[in-house]
Order: sequence, then structure tokens, then C-alpha cells
Amino acid sequence: MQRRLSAAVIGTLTLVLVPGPALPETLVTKSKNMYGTPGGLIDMPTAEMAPDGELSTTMSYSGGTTKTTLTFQVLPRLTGSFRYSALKDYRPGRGTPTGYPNSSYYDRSFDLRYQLIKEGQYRPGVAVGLRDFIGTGLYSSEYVVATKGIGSRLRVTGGVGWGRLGSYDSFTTMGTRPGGIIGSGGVPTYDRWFRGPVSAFGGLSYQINDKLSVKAEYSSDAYVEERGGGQDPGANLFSRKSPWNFGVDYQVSRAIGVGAYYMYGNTVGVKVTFAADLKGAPVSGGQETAPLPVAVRPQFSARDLGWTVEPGKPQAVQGDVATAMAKEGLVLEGMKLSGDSVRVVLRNPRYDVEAQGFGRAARVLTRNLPASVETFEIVEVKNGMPVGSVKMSRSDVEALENAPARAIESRVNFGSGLGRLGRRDDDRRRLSALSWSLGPYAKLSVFDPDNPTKVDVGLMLKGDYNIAPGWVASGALSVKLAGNLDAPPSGRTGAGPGTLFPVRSDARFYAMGNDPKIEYLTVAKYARLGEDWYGRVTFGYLEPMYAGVSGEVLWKPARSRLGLGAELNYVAKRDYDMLLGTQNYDIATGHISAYYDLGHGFHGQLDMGRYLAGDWGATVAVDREFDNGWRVGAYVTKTNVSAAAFGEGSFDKGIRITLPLSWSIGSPSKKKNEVVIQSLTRNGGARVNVNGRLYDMVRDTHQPELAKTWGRFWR
Amino acid sequence: MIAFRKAAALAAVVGLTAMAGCGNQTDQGVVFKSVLSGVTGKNKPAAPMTPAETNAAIQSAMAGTDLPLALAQIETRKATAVLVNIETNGGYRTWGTSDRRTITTRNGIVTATRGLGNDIMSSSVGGVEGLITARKAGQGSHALRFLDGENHTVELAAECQVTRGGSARVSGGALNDVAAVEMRESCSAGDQHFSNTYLVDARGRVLQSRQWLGPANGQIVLQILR
Repeated sequence: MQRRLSAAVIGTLTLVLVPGPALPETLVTKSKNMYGTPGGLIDMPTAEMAPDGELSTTMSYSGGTTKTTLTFQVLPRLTGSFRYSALKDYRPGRGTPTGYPNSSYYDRSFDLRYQLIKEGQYRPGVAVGLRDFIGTGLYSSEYVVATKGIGSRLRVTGGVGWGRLGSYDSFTTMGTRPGGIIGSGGVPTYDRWFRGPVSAFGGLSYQINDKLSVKAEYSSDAYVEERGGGQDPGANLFSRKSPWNFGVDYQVSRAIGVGAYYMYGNTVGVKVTFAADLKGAPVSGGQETAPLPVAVRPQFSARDLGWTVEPGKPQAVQGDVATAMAKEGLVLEGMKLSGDSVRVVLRNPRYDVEAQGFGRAARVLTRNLPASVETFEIVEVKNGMPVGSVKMSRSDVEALENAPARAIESRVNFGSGLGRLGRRDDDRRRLSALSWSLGPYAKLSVFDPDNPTKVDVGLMLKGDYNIAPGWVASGALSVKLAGNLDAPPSGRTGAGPGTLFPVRSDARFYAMGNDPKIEYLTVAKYARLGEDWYGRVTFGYLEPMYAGVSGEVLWKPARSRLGLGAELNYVAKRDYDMLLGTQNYDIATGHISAYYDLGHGFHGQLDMGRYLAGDWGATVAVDREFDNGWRVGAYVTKTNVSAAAFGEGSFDKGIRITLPLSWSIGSPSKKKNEVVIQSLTRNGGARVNVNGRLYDMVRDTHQPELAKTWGRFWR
Repeated sequence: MIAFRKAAALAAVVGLTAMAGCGNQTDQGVVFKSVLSGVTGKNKPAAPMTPAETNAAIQSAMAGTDLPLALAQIETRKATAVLVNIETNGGYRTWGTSDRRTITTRNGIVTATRGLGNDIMSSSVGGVEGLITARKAGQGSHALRFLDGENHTVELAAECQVTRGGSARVSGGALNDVAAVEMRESCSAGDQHFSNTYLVDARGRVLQSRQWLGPANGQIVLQILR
């Protein structure tokens, strides 16, 4: 992963490490507009893009509407956004029996933008965008927009828009734009795209200095819905007196930007953006303490095998190694020592970058093993099962400690770690270790169509107990202290929950009451089934809503980017009190899965099989993965149920984000936060959630993943 | 170890987070400490050591060990520490502080740091070390390697001019008025410029130096005490 620093990379490095002036890249901006998408204008889009890999949250308010937008720069020229809007006193169907019942209307929308043409010396950059292209289409609009930088400070934008962006002073009409919803909603509204009245919009932004910019624009949005001309005839969120908007943006820090605008001749808009550069890190390389340096053997000592006949010496060496590993946060589970080689079996509960764990272990070995031991094999185990290994010669570790990390990488043998564990005799105690934790928890539900935030907080006691090699008992007990996750739905109309058995849609009943609940309680067995084969069986209360048995087999060669798996579950739905009982619903589900590292930071997964409601289908997921643990992805599940049977949303889809704790705190940790934003929780395409699925457990310790962050071997 | 995992899919986002708390896992409480130090300011750089405090630290270190010692000051952090030469590997010496930060040098030139954050992972100094230790002017390459935010190795490959400056005398620790020559190294790698100075005695030992640790950590002053 060696990369020679080009001027641009040095610039980025400087930017990451110390605050400095941004590089003059073409049409890249840190500004977000009122819609939370990258762009230097106010309500109108531009052809600008955010820095690659930037994840941002923008909150904006104007004229009775609050928008919260999550935007990810998927590729240098592709942006994806998810938006949650609250419109105060906007009630579609006002005055009719099916009118919207809440005081605020909550709307969710997705945007995509792609930069078709890069900016040239004389040629503007051109982007095409879809606003709110899935679902009910409150903000539904499409645009083609061109932006040109003139000098380094001024950017001029002009474009044409359809839908909302074609609602004011249109100059032509391209066909008719249908208004209805396709199916039960939740599918791309392709029948509308680039249809109906077309209007022109445009604007200027001027960068006064690194932090401050001013802007002016001409808006082609007539705000028909907000002014009572649409689904809510009584809506009067604000009046629109002028198509002109003016404003100022101020970049407070690398992460925070704010803006204030005078909009439509009579209203004020404000905005704040929080952005994170997922390719960067607050502290590159981490700030954890130093490793122990390599201890080099004295010359000519390597042939001394005298220690092998010393009584008790091998046991003493093992004790020393275990103690030294523990100081590095590694747990020695087994060790097989001979005159010239060693095989150590470790658990690594600390280092999220596995190469670092292997590197620290190798240095510990140089400091504690007799000089004649020349070959190190370091095996990592998870749940008592070997999941990967590195084999190297001690002479290389000694000689290459101060060389670039690629030098030792080219000398290491990567394997799967299969083989006799060589378990230490005195390790029963270590093996049967109980790990437990007691602490507060929060279960969050945000961006729900009925309520922007729901949360339960309480206490959770969790524990894992290693019964025997590969056998793990796990449990978690929770007590809710307060929360509103069990709040009933608002009675909002929509296509409803569909006609399938409620395998997931009744989740709120599981959140009722303050009595102790069993989150999960399982016994699992993990085992290697062959050189490239891994297996798992889990029995018990698998998750809050289902109990039963789950079995899985995974094929994943240690040097392969491809993994194939199969999972079979037989489960029964648990009682709402989340104690030991089950309801009268049981089903066999299962999937075959393919996992593939697509390269360039992308990973794909395909699952095909039978889902919880008995529906058959497939799930496709694509994630952009950063080598610091961040992941941002999206998935779609389509099963053989009709859109009507599925209910509102038509089929299951969502976006998911994994935030590594190590990134935020700047020290190693295997903890991570995973957030899933599901379109709507329905019963089609639902799966059992079981802990300890094999692919993610096995993958990090295999060569393709290790190689990505091998530079951390010596950290 | 996913503390915040997809749980009962109650609605749009459902997560489960274990925040602070107690337990027997190795990284338990790390979040809490990190949050706490943010609140209490415990991670802020300590007040710089007074000369008297520095002298006391040197005296106690020299009395406490027979190993080679050095004094290090990182200017951007206003941090001072006594370093002990804890290990040697070929031409490389690793110096450690009591709080487990290390600096590795080769003929007095810093080649690596660990535990400072934004560390120098390794360096190639073969192009300049001969000039500096021989107190000769000339030109050579000097490469520093760092990890970026995605744990990829990035190399800063600089071309450097080594020039000979005036003479100086170095005292401190076990060194008493030793004659030395100031060697200056000015380096450029694209837009990035840095410079180092070394006080080198007649035997080619770098007794005192001021060296660049990278864009984030700035300059370190290193002085050999013994």
C-alpha cells in the first residue's frame, strides 16, 4: 500500500494534519445548500462536488421547514443524500377524513447527483441531479446544471430544472408530469423524471477568504405546496415575494460550516453543516503508546539449543510470553514451542487493525523466546476458532524493523491458521474466561415517518463465557428506564403494513414495559471444517424477536477476495415480554451468500434465500469501505411478495453506516457503531439477526484485508 | 465487539449502544476516559518544565540508570522528557520515555517515532547521514514515511542540502563543553519544506539537534546527556 507522495497528497496530508489552505481543486466545495447537498448556492443546485469520501449532516431551517440531510460523496463525481424534513402545519388532505393527523408533516427523501462533465479551462462542469427520486415526491425535481469557476474565487452557475425546479416562470414544457405514487410508494419515480414544465435558475458564489463566502441566486422553485397550491390547500408556510435569494456562508472549522440567507423577499434561512472526511483521521496512525522494540539476538547465539533440555524452561518461556502479550492487550491462548520454531495462538481484543496486533505479537516474541527459535507462526483465534495466521522468520523481523512496512510484508506467509492449537496446559483458566460488562444503553430510532426521534435508555448486562474451545455461551439482559420506542403509530395514512404475517412490524410491542428482558441468550459452537472452511451453530434466544437454531458454513480462502456462505435457521417468534416463551409462529429461513471485495474500496454482498415471512428473494448490498473502519453502504431486498402485500415502501431498502470507535478516540478499539436507516420496517425481506456471523469474523485476519493496512504492522 | 448493532428493527434506525460502564474487557472505559479527559482537559499539554525541574529530571534519570540518556523537547506540545536508550538494532537506537513513547535514531538522525500520534513510521536517511556525521557539505535524499487517515503508508521523499555552519560548544548531562560543528540540512519535497540542524563533534556524534517530525508534530530538540 506504499504510495509516493505527490504534491496533491502532501497538500492533503498537510490539510489533515494541520489546518491549512484548501487546494484549488476543480469544482470541489465544502459548502452545502439548504437541501444539504454540496453546492455554493442557497436553494438551487450547482455542479460542485464535496471532497471524495466526505460524510456530512446539514440542518437547515426556513419558512416553517426543517431539513436534516445526510450526504455522502460516494465517488469523486457521485453524491448520495438522505433527507428528513419536517414541515410545520402542512397537512396533505386537510379537511378530508384521510387528512394528515400530525401538526408537523415528516417527509423522507433521497437525492443522487452525478457530475457528467468535469470543468475544463473554458468549459464549465456539468452535473445532473435527481431530488427526492424515491417515494412520495414532495421535493421531486430533476436538474441539469453547469458551474464555471472564474479565477479562484468566483463561481457562476446556471441550469434548468423540472418538477419543483420547473415550477416558477417556466419557459417550456416537456410532456406531462404525473403526480401519483407508483405501487405502494418507495420505488423510483421514473415516470416523472425530466417531464413537465422546465424553468431556468442560476446564481453566483464568491469566496472572500478561506472561511467566508457570499452568494446570490435566482430560484425557479415556486413553493406551490407550502403556499396552499398543492396537497394541502390550507398550507401557508410562508409567502414568496421574490425569486431572489442572498446569503453568506462561514466555515467555522474543518468540520463545521454555518450559513444565513435572506430568501424569497420575506424570510430568513439558516443552516449548519457537520462534515467528516472519512479518508482522514483526527490522529493518523493513532496515539496509543509505543510497541516494545524488537530485541535482536546476539551474534552466533541462534545455534544454542541448550535451553530445550533445561527442566521447566519451555513452561517458563510460555509464562513470560503470556505476560508480555497481555501488556500489549493480546491474550495468549496456546503455544507450541520447538527448538527452532514457535506457533502461538492469540486472541486480539484490542487492535481493530489486525496487522498491528500481529506486529506487536512478533516483537514480543523476539524479546522472550530463546535465540534458537527462528520461525514465528502467529495464529489469531476468534471464539476459539483459528481465523488467520502470519508466518515469518525472526531474522526478517530483526532486519526489517526500521525498513518500510512493505519489506516485511513481502517476506510474510499469510495463512488460515488451521492446525493443532498447541494449547497450553495451564490455559483452562484463561480459556474459560468470562468477559462481561454492565452499562447504560440507548436504543435509537431516528427519521421514522411518524416521529423524528424515538429512544429508549436503560441498563444492560452482557457476558460471554468460553465453555470449551469453540464453545461460547452469551447473554444480555436489559432493563428499560425510560423511552418512547413503544409509542403507537400516529394514524398517518399510507399504504400500511401490508398483508404478510407481522414478523417485524410489531417490534414496538417488544419495547413495552420496564421489566427485565433477555436481549439474547445463546450457546454457539464455532469450528474449522477444513483449510478454507468455517462453521457455526448457534442455539437459543438469538435476538429480541426470534429464538431457535442457526447454522452457517463459510468458504473463504485466506488469500481470496471472494467468500461463499450458506445459512439455515429454524426460528420461532418470541413473546413480547422477551422472556423465555415463544409465540405460535415458527419458520425455516436460510440464505446462500456471496461476498466479494470489489477493489477501490468497494465491497459487494449478495444473499439469496427465504426470509422471515416465508417470502423468497435476494438482497444486494454495496458498501464503500475505508481502511480506517468507516463503511457507508446501501442495500435492497426484493422478494416474491407484491408491493401491495409488502405495504408502504413496496420493498425493503436502506442505507447503513459503520463508525469505528478507534477513529474518534485515536487509539485502537474493536468497538464500532452501526447505524441502519431503513426505508420503513415492514415484514417482507426481513432476516433473523444472529450474533457471530462468520464472514465479518474471518475476513479481517485474511491477507486481502491485512495488506490494506499493513503499514500498521510496525505501529 | 459491535457495541452498537442493529437490534429489533423497530423503525427507521434502530441501534443499541453500550456507552460507559464497567466490566472486565480490556478496552472497557476507554470511551469514558476519552470523554472525561476532553471535559477535564487532562490531555492538554502540561505546563512546560522549568529549567530547575528539567535539571532535577536529568539528575534523577542519570542516577537511576547506566544506559545512554537524552533529553527531548517537542516544541508544538511544549513537552519535555528524558529518554533512555532502551534498545539497539543494528545502527538504530530506540529511546523511550517513562510513559511509553519512543523515538528511534540512526547516527543521531530521527528515523521513527511511536506514540506521539502522526508518527514517523520509518525513514531512509542514507543519503544525508554520511554528510552530517562527517561534517561535510553536500546533497542527498531523506525520506520520511507516515500513515495517512486510512492507515496507508505515505512517503515524503525529500531532497536535502547539507551545509556546514559555525562551531559551537555543547554542555549538559555528562557532556561538558564539547566542541562541535553546526550542520544544517534543508529539505524539500514538492510544496513541503523542512530543515534540521545538528551539532556534531569531531567523532561524528550528533550531540544536540533540532529536527522535524512531520507536519503535525513539528520540531523536536534532542540532546545527548550520556
